[in-house]
Amino acid sequence: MGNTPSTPARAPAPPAPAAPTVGAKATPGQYDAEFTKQFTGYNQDGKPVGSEGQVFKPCCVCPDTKRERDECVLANGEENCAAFIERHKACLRSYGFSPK
Amino acid sequence: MLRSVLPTLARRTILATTPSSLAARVLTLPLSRAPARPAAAASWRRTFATAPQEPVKGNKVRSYVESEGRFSSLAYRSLGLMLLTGAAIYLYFDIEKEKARQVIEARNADQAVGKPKLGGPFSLIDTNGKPVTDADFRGKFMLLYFGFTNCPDVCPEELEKMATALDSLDPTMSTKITPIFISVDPKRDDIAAVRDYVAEFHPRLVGLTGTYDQVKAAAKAYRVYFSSPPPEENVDDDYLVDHSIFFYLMDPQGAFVDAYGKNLMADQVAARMRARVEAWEKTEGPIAA
Repeated sequence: MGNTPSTPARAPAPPAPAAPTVGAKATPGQYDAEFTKQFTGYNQDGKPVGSEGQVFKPCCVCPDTKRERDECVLANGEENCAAFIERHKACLRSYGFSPK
Repeated sequence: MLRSVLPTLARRTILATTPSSLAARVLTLPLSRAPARPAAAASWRRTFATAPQEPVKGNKVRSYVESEGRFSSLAYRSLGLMLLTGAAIYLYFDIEKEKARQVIEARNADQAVGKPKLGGPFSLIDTNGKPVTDADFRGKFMLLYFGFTNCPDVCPEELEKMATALDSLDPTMSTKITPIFISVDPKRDDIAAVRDYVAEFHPRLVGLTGTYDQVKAAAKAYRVYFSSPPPEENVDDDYLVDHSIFFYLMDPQGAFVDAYGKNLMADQVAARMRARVEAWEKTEGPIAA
């Protein structure tokens, strides 16, 4: 994952979002910049919808961050996976959800 | 590193201490007698037995003549052989020690990855309103799933997969596994809701729920991530529950055996469960169906 050495001596790239690591501390919103906004608004049921009118489902919009989080919790316990948990929440927010 | 040095070292010392045919014969003796590592001994014998053959062939007479000055007495020769044997044995055990260390390391790594420390006691309420604990399910394998009855997409999919996996097993095998659904949304999932829900998926599926704290403790023990609002939080009923999706296979003594994620198909889950049950029965004896 995103840890390949980049070409040397290039102009300072924008700071790459740090991929979560096991045991890392996390603050709410820390990962929000990583995810571009996907939803355009809410339908009359209050569900977030995309630019083509598709209704997003919280179960299924962020499979990668969800899988990483679940595997981290399974292997290390929830208390050691705060960064993974925050990152999945950041992804959900980009789809218009408000996870706790 | 040692391994690469060793043959060279052995060859060189043998060449130096001709008469080499004698040295080779004596040196192979203690090693070929070691019964614990026949394969290793064989490879050793090969090193010692074949290496000196080149100089021996055709050069036999010259070697004897050359050696006369250096090893004139039998005592020197014996001493040399003794030291050589000692060095060989030392190196041999050093290599074996290194091998053993690598095996242990590999085993530890396997445990760290493949066997998370999870499981443990839980105390919940079944669909008859009776309190149950993990101890009530001893004697059979448990197949645990944490979810919630309002789960719109993933849970039904996963529970159907579970039912398919169980039903694809031989009935005598399938009944050695108790499927259990534990709700992580006790606020909305009362006993009746769980009862109706589990009946949809499998006739033997046990549904459990409890207080928020009970469910939270169970989820923590099994390392299930879940977010559903605690009871003191005032939210409308249309909230989002997010939870990890794994099936946990626990052995008849309640110890964690295997976890199955979303990536596995029903037949893969079934095959792995069957293998686990068979392996357990092989060492611990048959499970009453």
